[in-house]
Amino acid sequence: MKKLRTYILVTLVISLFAGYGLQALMPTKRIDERAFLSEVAPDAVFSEKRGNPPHYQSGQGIVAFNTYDVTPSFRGYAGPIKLLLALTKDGKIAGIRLLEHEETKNYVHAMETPEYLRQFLGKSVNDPFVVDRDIDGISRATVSVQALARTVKESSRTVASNVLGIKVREDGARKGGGAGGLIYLTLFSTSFILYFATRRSRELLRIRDISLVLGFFIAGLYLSTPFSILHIFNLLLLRPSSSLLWYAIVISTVVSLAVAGRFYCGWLCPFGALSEFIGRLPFKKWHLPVELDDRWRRLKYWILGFVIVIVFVSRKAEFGNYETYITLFSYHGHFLAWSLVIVSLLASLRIERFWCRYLCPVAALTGIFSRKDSGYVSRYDCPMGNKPMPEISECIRCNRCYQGDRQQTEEWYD
Amino acid sequence: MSKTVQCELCPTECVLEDYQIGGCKVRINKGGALYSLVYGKPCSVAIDPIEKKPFFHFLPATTAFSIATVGCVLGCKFCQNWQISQAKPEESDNYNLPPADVVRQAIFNGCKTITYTYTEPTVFYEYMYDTAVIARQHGVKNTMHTCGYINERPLRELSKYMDAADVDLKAFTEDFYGRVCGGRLKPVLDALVVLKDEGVWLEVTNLVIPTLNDDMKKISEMCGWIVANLGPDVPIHFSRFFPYYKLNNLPPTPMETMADARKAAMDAGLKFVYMGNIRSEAENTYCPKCRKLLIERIGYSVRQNNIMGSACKFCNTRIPGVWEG
Amino acid sequence: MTDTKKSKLLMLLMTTLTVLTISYNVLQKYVMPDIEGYWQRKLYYERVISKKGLTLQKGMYWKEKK
Repeated sequence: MKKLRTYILVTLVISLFAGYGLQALMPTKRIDERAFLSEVAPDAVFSEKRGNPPHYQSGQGIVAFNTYDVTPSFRGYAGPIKLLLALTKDGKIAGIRLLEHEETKNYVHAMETPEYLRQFLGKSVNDPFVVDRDIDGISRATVSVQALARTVKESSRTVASNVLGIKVREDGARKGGGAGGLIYLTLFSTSFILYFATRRSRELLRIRDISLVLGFFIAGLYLSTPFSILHIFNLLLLRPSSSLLWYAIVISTVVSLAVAGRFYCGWLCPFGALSEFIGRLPFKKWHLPVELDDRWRRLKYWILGFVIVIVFVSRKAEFGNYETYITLFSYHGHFLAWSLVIVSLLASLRIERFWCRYLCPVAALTGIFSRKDSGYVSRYDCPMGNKPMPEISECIRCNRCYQGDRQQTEEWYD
Repeated sequence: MSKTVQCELCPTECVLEDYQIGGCKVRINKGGALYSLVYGKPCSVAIDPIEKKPFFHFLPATTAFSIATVGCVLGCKFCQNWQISQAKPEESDNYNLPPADVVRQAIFNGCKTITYTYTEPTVFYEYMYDTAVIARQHGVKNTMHTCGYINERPLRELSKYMDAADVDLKAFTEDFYGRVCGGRLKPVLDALVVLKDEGVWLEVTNLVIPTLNDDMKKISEMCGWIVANLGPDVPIHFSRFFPYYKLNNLPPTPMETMADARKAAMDAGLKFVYMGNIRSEAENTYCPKCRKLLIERIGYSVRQNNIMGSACKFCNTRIPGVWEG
Repeated sequence: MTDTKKSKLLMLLMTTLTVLTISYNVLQKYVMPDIEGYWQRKLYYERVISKKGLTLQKGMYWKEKK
């Protein structure tokens, strides 16, 4: 386990450096946007770029950001149109500067001029931003101008909603915010306390099922934010979110990891819950030789390494988006991502907690950082199908087999 | 294997991927080579008096065989020919008229000139060029009406066969060319200088649009530039704007504005200042020396012509222009 | 087929799907837009332009790019 930890960390560090290096060497001109901050907000002093969505914060309450960091998917005719925008505390555009675009130069020449961009100043994030209505059009450049207006509109609304806490029209605001964070923390605390209780007394073991059901409905269906490797990736890419819920999830999971290993997996994970309940259906389980099972459990560490390389070299967390629970609970993904979900859930009928055992990156990560606890010896009804005296990295702390605080020691078959 | 090409005909210089069509709508990259889609396929063919082009100092009272294909390098919001300039060749009805046939038809109809006009001739450069070469061989003159948005190399090459050019100098600000036309001013000014340098007979047209380019200071500046760079002999035609296409919300140009523009031009030193599409004495040509009436025009028809041997009949002053073929 | 054989196939399937999924994420960002655009233009040319009877005349004044 220690070796594995080392390998993963080394992979991470190398990928991080490679990613930084590549970014520095990239042939595409890297506009130093900081140089333009004073242009869009002359009297403000800005912090380093941080947050999710990434932005610059100033003491005067003005927020500046590169639209490409906030809405990278919007494209004009030939590529994204990148602007530096400054928003006041009450969501008005205080400054605008065009950074980069690949539109046909001669058509959009007018779009680059201060005279044209000036029309955006003073606009509120909830203005319509419709070309030829509140935004001037430009001959021959319809697509570009529409993309420009849309980029300004959506990125401003996203920042206004997530950073300034302003209510915006349509989407741009994410669910939860403050309330979601509190709900999650309540759920977490309750389950965490019950975890310690069941370590002491066997009678309450069934309570874990209730915790899993709550986890499924609250973290999964309602908040749609199960803990995911993307949280860690964004943290390491220095792009944490600004919402309380995000911090609640990350901090609580890290704390529980330090204290109780893979507690999250066994008590809160909505996909784990789903997999486990599906596994309890009366389908004959496949018998697997232990050697094979052991070998395959290593696969998730390989996958984790692979994803780390891709994400940190490209510096795009979105490339690592393959986890089944992300696809399932956001109801969003391409056909390959969905096939992962379906196959995993079906496989859970025959192999208990199939995804958790062999493929989950969170399982891999929490596994290698779990501290040894010799009280977990495993037994016949282990939800992970663990062998006797398993690695602590495979234990999800259901407490059925726990031989620590309890009075008597138990046999394999009780 | 990159199949990307870059067109170098007009200042837009579109970069085109395989199967991509340029902004002018009539040039396409296929398999890594650039092609014209409208060669020999005009959408407009007509015979007009040459005064309509407007050329007032070039073979007066003769007819011009006029052709155009669809397409344009710009997208002016006030375009008078937008139905063809902004049309796509695959959506328009085109004639089949190869270059040799153009010349044949021109001669057959007694036209002294072939004019490449209506839309922007730059976009059908290859067609225009091949036709012009044949025309020159058969003693037919070549003239064009262009917005001047063409790169220097192709313009110089074309100028070898072009006898006269009428250039739209639409405004004297980059802002106008950017916002209203989707282009730039500087390439147009460069093109004017190149044409002059190549010895092509030049006439300039300017459409005066209320609120957009009717600033008299700018008009004076523009005329001053023409005098300094092209000479005071270049005839300038001011046209009156009527609401059309995308500028239906603007009023027609007031007559006072037109008169002011004419005065500004003459004050700047331009000798021949005409007002198109307005019936007045500003349609006539007067001798700059003796002030006698040289050419009387009503609309596009010439009533009298007192120029003999390229000079004023009365005082023998040489009158700039091309008077005899 | 034994349980072992079935499990091996399943693992192969899942590993492949996982790698494909992540590769597809990368592809979608960098490669797809270009491919889609190319096919759209090609089909437009073949269905609309060449049907119209427009000829291709070698253009003057252009150069290869990159």
